[in-house]
Amino acid sequence: MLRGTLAFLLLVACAVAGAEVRRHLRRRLGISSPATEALGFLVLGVALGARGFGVFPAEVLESLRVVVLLGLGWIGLMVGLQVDLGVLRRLRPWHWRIGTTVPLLVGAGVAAAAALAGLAPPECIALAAIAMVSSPVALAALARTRPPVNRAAMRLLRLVGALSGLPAIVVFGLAEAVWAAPSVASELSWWQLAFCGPALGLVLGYAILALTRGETGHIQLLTVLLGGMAILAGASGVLGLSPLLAGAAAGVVIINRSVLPHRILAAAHSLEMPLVIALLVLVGASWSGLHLASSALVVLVAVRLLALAGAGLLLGRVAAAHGVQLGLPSIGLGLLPQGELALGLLVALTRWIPPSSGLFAAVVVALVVNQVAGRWWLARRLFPVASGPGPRTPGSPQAEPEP
Amino acid sequence: MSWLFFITLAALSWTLRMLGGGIEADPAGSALLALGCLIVGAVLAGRLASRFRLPLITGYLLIGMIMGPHALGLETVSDARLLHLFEELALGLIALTAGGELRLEMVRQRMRVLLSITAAHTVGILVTVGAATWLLLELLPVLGPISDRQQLAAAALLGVIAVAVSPASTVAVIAECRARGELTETVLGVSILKDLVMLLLFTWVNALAMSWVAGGRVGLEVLHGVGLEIGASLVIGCLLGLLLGAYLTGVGQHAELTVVLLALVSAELGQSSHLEHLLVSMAAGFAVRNLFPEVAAGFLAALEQSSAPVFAVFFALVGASLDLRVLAALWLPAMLFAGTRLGAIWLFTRAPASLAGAGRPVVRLAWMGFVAQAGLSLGLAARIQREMGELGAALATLIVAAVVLNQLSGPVLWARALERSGEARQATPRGRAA
Repeated sequence: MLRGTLAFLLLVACAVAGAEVRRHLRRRLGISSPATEALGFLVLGVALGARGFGVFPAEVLESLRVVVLLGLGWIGLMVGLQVDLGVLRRLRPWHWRIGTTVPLLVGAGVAAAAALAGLAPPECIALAAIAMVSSPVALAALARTRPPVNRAAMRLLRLVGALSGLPAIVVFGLAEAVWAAPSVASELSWWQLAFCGPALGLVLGYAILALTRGETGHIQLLTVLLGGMAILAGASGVLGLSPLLAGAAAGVVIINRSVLPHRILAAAHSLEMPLVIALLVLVGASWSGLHLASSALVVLVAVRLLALAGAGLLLGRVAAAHGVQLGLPSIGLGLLPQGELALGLLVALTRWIPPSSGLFAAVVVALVVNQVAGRWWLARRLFPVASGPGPRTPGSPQAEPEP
Repeated sequence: MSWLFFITLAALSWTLRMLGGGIEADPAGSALLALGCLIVGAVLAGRLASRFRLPLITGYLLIGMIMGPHALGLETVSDARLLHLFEELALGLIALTAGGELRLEMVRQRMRVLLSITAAHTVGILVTVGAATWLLLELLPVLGPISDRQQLAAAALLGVIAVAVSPASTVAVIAECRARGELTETVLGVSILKDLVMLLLFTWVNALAMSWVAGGRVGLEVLHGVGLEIGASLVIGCLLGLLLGAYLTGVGQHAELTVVLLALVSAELGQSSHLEHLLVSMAAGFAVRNLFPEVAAGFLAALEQSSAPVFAVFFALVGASLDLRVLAALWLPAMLFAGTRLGAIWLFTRAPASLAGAGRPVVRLAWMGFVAQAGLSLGLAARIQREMGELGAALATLIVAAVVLNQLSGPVLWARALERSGEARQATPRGRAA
């Protein structure tokens, strides 16, 4: 009795404290930080977990794997829903090149550094996939509050952030197919497993479309989507496939074939936050020690930062070659924040690597550091408090479509 | 076309589980497959039910029955154990809604009617159904050869079970019809009061029945523990409600999530201690609604947001727990039991409502709101089975068969009552589906 009440009290205290901190940050520093919120939920998870009040002991966490599988499938779905082929087709070729090259460069750099640091190949690829992810959410949140110093830079950062999700999931899904723990589908070869994930997603994506045909109500769409995604996540779990990859494939089908894509997107968004928060709390509750793999932490923070800085220089040059002046040499640091997809990859990582290993803790710390540092850079350099509308160069891609 | 896709998906899920080595290989994945099929199936069955002007939850229950472990087996007993968390969560949200719908002012205004109907139900239905069951057992030996004392115990226990209602079904139909008015408030209020009374009544009669069967004396002291349990549940629920209200007033962020978390905490309290999960959540909802009127609308909106998937999951899982084979085996005694109960409900609702000066819709139609039975009755049946040996097992089977009948007919009757009274603001089939 006491544990449940304490947990609830703690949640209320965390939420009130988090709201106060956010208010303070907004007033004093001019920034609002979702990192504080995410950190609050992580801390809450630690408090509720086996190391805290024990509301989520190990055996309960095992039964909560249902939520984890569903959350991973949902995060994959959200990434897939961003891949609107109609919009992507309208992009210029150099946008494509930049959007795909930057995440791959960062991933390659991080994988190489991890290998040099002596980490095993599965860990190197997993860290590379996590490092590839950049979230445009922090940037979009700041853009709602004040104008950037350079709109072209902001748009390019959003483009790269939006395009980074799918390659990261694909790399992670391939690595998962090769190295994941033996599952019931272990008789299948790695390429068969890698193929089955997207195939399952495509089938379920079409099935969800058929089931939602004629439905316009938000709650009805959400209910069908929830049912469809539960089947997808369950099938992924039973077959040992990546729910992220399958979810992303379903998302791509749904957004490109639906007659009401915006309604489905809104329905999917409405459950995204609760599931991400549930995952954050569960990640915190899975924390089982203070052991930290320092090499992985350095790779994910320092090496990723250097790789992003280098990629930013390349970005500036390519943009300048096409007549777009960015005026921010360190623009790559705007890609530091990592959103819920990185969190999803971290949770998926627990299928290969137990949460008790130092790698898990290192990734959690790295995600928090990257989020805070990235937001700080964006708030200081791209969205300073007193900035006016950015310079508008003739080659600026302001009127161009973006994903 | 949608049904074709659903059947294909269900077949695919079944095949995957067979190919994938069954439930043991990945219990979580298997449970999710079952949950997904239940949700999608429930949505389609709800649409179909709307077409026949039936409540959505009748569709949810039927699809749950068909897919459950007692029929097609797409959801197994092992899945149900893992999905218990979702069931408890859904029940908590439904109980929060029930508490949130109750206004203190309304309770004060209708106190006389509420207490009259509750008292009449408690005594009248218990005595009438108990006596009828005693007669039935004299004529039809459905429980096998039993002694006079065992017959008396069985009659008393079936009489108590007949008093129980399903507040969850009442709330679900009210939410679906978006009903407001005297009839709605009276039936909801009585359902909640009866839930409180049932806990006391069952504990006492169960102890009495056991003493008749096994010997010994029973005094009112057995009620001490359950009285404390109810009191503590109400106090803890009010405290949680105060916290939730303070949170919604002071912070207000993630209202839906906080409400869900409160339902989870209440479920955890119910499991880890002797508190009554349903009462804790109801008291919390009641506290938020009446102590924080400025956030009450947002609170109810947050609950309404989650209502469709919650009802689909909860009632499909309830349907899955109902065994149609039991009904097939015991259809005659079950129908006699359910029929007697129905008659007693009709009589002991109309008479006290009329005497207490309730409005015409309440006098004429309120009885239709007390027919449904679900989780509480099934839980009590399981307890009888556990505690009363062979006689308990036979009684539990009869109770489950009667619950199947009551749960299938109850929501339909209640929806009709709301429509006829004019309190249902959303009565067309398509409107209901949307």
